[in-house]
Amino acid sequence: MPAVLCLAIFTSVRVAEQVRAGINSLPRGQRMAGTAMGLTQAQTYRHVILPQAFRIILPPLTSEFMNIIKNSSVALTIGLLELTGRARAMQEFSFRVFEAFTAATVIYLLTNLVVVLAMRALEKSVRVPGLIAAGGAPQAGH
Amino acid sequence: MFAGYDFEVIQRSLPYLFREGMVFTLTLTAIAASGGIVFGTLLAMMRLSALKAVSMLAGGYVNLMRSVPLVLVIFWFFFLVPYLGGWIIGAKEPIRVGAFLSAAITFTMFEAAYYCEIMRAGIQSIARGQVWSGYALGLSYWQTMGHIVLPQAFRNMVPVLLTQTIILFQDTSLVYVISATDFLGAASKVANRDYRLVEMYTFVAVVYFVVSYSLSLLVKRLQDRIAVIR
Repeated sequence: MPAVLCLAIFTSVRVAEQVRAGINSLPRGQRMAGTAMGLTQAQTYRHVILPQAFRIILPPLTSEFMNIIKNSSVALTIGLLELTGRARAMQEFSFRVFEAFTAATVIYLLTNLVVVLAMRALEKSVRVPGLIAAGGAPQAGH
Repeated sequence: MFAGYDFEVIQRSLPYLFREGMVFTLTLTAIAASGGIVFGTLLAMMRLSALKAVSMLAGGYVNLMRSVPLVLVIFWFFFLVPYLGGWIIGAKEPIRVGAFLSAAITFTMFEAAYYCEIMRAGIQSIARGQVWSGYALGLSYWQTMGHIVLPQAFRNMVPVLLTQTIILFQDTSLVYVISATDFLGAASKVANRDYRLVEMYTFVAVVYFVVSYSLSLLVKRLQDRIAVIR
């Protein structure tokens, strides 16, 4: 449970930055148009800004999703037996270094592959018409 | 909460924390960053190569490193480098590799994948015509890269490279899983010895925050200064 909270808080900070970038990338006119139509600020966000912002930042969100999967391995430092922790335990138990870590690596690769493929399909189905696929600036991070 | 807070334990362990721990962390960061940038730039050039086999090799390496967690990579290298080394020199037993050397190799190889992606974006941000004019002047591939493309790519990417280095500085704390005594490792040793977990871990958090935050402010200023160019 602490691990879940920790990962959630850590990731939410980074996602917040990306959502901010997504909102900033929208033309200001959209917000003004929303307010001019008589929408409240909350309604503008709900119906105009956020639906577009989320679709624009899908690519960085994909890598953030993969990051959570990878960062979950750090939970082994507080004794949580997740994938890497179990591989470590297997290796200590049986001295089969190669087998244990190869299995863990393959499982991580497969999980991340599934995430990438699923997000790519999602990206395709919710693409904002009229926008070229937004690549975004290169970002440092893990 | 702070009723039983013992500042003295921090003060007492300061020399150990900084002389042993921080030196280890900073050395590791410096080695991994410089090695990683060099290796990463080579990887980026390989990834952009016209030869399919070369670019696929580099791409496979980068994608593999980027989809496996750092902790797992640290374990891989820590347990496998001795066997690999022994196998290469034909020794019967695995050779002895210290935690520091193992960590340095791991971080260089791992960060190279991330630096590679940054440098690839940097190289791709240079106008194609520049490469062509380089060739038209009779420069070879290495001359074009070394004198025209890479200097500009580095310049454009300095802020991102530095940000990645700050992240690397934070990531080095993970070597504590192989019991190396970096800053966090030193603090956790003192914490467990004196049973002062709260004090030591808050102190470590504050130090990491101060270092990383001030560095990232510097990077931001640098970014503003060199962003005018375009």
